[in-house]
Amino acid sequence: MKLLVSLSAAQTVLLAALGLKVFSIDMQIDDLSAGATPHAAQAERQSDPAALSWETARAPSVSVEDMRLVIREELAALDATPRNQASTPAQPARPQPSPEQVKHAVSAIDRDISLFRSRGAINEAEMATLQSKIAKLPLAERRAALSTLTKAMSKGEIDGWM
Amino acid sequence: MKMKHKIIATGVAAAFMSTAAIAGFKQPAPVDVDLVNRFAQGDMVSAQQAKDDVTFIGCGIRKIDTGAGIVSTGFCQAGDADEEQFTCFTQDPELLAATASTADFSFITFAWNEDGECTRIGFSTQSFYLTDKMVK
Repeated sequence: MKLLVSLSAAQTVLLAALGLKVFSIDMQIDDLSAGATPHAAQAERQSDPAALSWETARAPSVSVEDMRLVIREELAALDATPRNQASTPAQPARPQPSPEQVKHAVSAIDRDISLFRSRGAINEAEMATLQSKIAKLPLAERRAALSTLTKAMSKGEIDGWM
Repeated sequence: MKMKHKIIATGVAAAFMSTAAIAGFKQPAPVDVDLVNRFAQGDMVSAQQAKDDVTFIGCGIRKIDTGAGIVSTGFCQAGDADEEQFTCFTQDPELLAATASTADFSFITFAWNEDGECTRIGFSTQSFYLTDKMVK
């Protein structure tokens, strides 16, 4: 009989201890879910930077600065990936004509314009060809050639249209 | 007989009403090329309907792939009834963008410097440049 009473008492004590433990765990869960204030979150961020993205993802009041930080981190991660580096090959350098080549091209265009001037006209196909030649010149020489051509057209020396 | 008069009167009234519907302010702008002050202007409808075979006005762009990139050259050209004409060119990005904004039947105005480069390109697309024939 004494044994039964002892066992019953021990069971009661163990049940009480278990109940207290469950209550304690419940309290901790409540604290975690309801007690995560901005200050607490800030403190956690300061103490544990790794928790930042988790906090910003679940917190209902995410600040603009937090969002910017996350976006910056994500963009930095994207830039750092080898796939991204491989998908943007370096642009090949544009071939630049040598001064001799430019001089030769300018002379050829001047001869063409002189020919059209002596003939008094330029047809559409010839104009297209001439403009293609002019387009390949560097900017300064291109402007000079276009100036010569349009002036000759405007004076009526070359009958034609751009 | 009275019925016939009514029909005729209704037809005449309808004709006048349709004329009134296409009436409105009109301001044709014949092409004028001023070589002294270096500008030209005029609307495309007036140029196209000029009573001569020398009047014209227009602007355009040529984009050429040179193998080392795309080179864009814009131009405007006009000739008037006095047989004065001018063609200007531009490679300025802003003026090229302006050239691309042209529309059918626009009024066009452009100016140039001593090198023949365009210094102003403008368009205006408005109802008063259209003719009655175009909207009938």
